[in-house]
Amino acid sequence: MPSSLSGKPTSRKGLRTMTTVKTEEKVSSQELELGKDLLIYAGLFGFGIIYNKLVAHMNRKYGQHGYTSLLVVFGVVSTMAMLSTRIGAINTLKIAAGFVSSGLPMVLGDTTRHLEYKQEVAVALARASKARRKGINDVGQTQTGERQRFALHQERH
Amino acid sequence: MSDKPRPGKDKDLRFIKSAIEDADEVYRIFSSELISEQSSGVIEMISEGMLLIIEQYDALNQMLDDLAITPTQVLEHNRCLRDILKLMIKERLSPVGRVAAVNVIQSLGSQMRSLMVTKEIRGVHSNGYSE
Repeated sequence: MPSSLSGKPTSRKGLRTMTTVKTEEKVSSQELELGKDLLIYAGLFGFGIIYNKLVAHMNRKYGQHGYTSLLVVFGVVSTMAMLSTRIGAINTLKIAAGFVSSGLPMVLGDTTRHLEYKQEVAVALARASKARRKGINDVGQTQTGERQRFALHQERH
Repeated sequence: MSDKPRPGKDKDLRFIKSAIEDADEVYRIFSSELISEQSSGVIEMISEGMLLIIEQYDALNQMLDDLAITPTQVLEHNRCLRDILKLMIKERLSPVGRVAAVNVIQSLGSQMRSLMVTKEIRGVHSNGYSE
């Protein structure tokens, strides 16, 4: 059977042409992949800019809101959701498991710290309110007591 | 005659007036510089702080009129204000707010010093009453 009928290149020139075509296809495919990656990165960059403005607004408006760790979680989840289209679901799940392992203690710790801070604020405000009320309610009583003690002090000296 | 400063005399009145000036300064900072903070937690603290300062004004003015009144109540207000400030500086204040908080702390420290002198002159025991 002649080699030309089996579809195989008959000469070195033909072989080189096929290799060149394959290489060009490979390069073209890599460029396409790179283009897709760059598109994802550009999308993530845009998301980052908008998300930063949102977080800045929240911090300015609500101060110690206690959602810092959750905002970080949302940012990471969004990034991974966008990247999952490029790296595949299995890889995304593996990375997600890693983030959950390292992030969960931080989320719980941050929430606990925030609740403790809120409790401190509540106690301080309650004490201040009590001090004010004491000033209003006990003013007559305290002053009478102080006056009596002051008179004794004056007598003694 | 003893040189010991006496209630209602020059030194006593001077330090009470100094405490009133400090209260005035704190009130001014609260009402002009810190009032622009947007955080609801900070606004709550500022409101409580301003009410405490108003009470201080009242108590200090009474001290000017009545020699028997001790600065115990005013000191308690000062302590509460310091507690509020401690928590306020943990909040995310604006740069202007942070500087204002420092100025409030400075004024409260100065007021504390004046009140300690008044306390000494009016002879207050740890239970809050005159000797």
